[in-house]
Amino acid sequence: MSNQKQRLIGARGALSRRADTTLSLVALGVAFLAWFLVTYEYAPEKRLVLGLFLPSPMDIVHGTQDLFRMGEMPGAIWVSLWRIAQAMFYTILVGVPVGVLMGSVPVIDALLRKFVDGFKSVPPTAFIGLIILWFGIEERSKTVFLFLGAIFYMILMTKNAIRNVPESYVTVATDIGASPLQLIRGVLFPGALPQIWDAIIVCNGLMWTYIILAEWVNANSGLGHTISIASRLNRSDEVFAGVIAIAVISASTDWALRAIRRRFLNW
Amino acid sequence: MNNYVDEQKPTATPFVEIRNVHKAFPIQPNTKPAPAVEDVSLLIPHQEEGDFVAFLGPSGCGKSTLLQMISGLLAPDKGEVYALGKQVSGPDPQSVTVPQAYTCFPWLTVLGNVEFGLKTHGIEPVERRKIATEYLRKVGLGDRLDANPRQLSGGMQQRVAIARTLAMRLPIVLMDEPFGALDAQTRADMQEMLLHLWQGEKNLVVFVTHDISEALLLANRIVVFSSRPARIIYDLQVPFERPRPQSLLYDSQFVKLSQVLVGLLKHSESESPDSVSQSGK
Repeated sequence: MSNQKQRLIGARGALSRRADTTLSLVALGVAFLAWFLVTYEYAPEKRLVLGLFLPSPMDIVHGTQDLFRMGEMPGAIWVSLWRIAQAMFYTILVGVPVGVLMGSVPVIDALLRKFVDGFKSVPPTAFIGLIILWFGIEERSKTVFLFLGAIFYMILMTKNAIRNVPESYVTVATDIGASPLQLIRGVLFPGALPQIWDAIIVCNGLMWTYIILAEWVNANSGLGHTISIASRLNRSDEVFAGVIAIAVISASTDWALRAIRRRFLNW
Repeated sequence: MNNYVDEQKPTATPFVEIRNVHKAFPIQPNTKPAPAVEDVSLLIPHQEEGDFVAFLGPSGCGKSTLLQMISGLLAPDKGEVYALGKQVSGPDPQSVTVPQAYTCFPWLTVLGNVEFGLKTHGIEPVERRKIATEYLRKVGLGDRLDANPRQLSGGMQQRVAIARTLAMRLPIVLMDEPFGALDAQTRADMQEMLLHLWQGEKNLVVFVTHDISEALLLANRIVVFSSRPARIIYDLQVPFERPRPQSLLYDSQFVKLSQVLVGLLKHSESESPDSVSQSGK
């Protein structure tokens, strides 16, 4: 009995796969039921929690429908996706080479480490004012904001990925006679690629949480803008619709990136 | 140092010359360095048809350390190592090592792994592909050129490593217990393959092993090392003709020599009881 208990609730115990799935689904079901009950309109204008504070599931469905019908949602999704794609492009373009060099060349690491470590701890929101000052209120400042939110993580994770390439590969390549450049291009970079891809996955998630902030200030489009307008108009249903849209897109891009990782970068 | 000039005579330049080499390092981290190789001197003279020398000794005795100093991956504390008359200082372009196991790059195909070595030596793509394919055929992997190394068994992966090494056609090939991680049958197959493969090469193979029959079966000469720190305790010319089939293992002279070597290794280990269990495998 105590053994059984230990297994179910003990630290680092294990659940059977089925019990695990069942429990998580039950939890989800209970939460949904509670949500449904407190927001259910059992008489006109009579519900436990007002829609303004917590919209019901049906409110959100309607809110989403409204946003799609007005043509707002597809455009917003597209704009946000495009902004993140651009920011990701620059994050990879700068972060991967810098991280690879920091991971493989000690001199470069010594020169850059303090800056990267320092800036990593600074929330990019602190720079919103400066970013607008430097890059204007247009498109570019949003990309720069997302870029700053992710770049330092990208660099550090890439550097760690390089450091984690097994020493035996480096020894073999050195023994074979690879030059430092051949070692970086032929062994360290490809050896680290799966973990660099993991860093891209993390940064993708990071950017989807930052997108709301990026588009909150002075944007005229994008999911963040949609949410900020809805919240100003007290359309809680549309706020939730926007949040769900972000969650769904973030999760699906995450899933797609992981699928690529499993299929092509599985060492 | 001055003797070195005398030995520059082109015909007499030895494959490898080791002079009074010492090397110590800590057995465990944060302990005092303990000697791993102590005052080892060894001459492997040049042979027109190549040579096959085995370093035999108990596990952990320091023979691999000596091998790493020939390859230039490790520098001696004292003494000098010469490869083809040139003092070794840093990874030596004339030698290449087949490591113990699992050193194929998983992001390259089998063919790509063998080509990698040739690429670092600046061989053109077409030529590279030709040589790599030829050597992979020789090790019996001609039909697995595009496979991923991780889809292969441990023995096959070692075949790739051997093909990668031999394809570079360097004068000195070092093998650091390359079959140590394989099961007995695979090991026997690999030994046969290596014997067959080496026939055509005119290079020096230095083969580190703690397996007496493996040393007797493969080598022309066996250098026997004591347990750590490694000192040379015996130097044996192996009398068997080539080709050598596996059946040689049951030859009476083979058995007699094995017994001599078992005795030597046992004696060397009586001083250091912690490595007795590794003997005569």
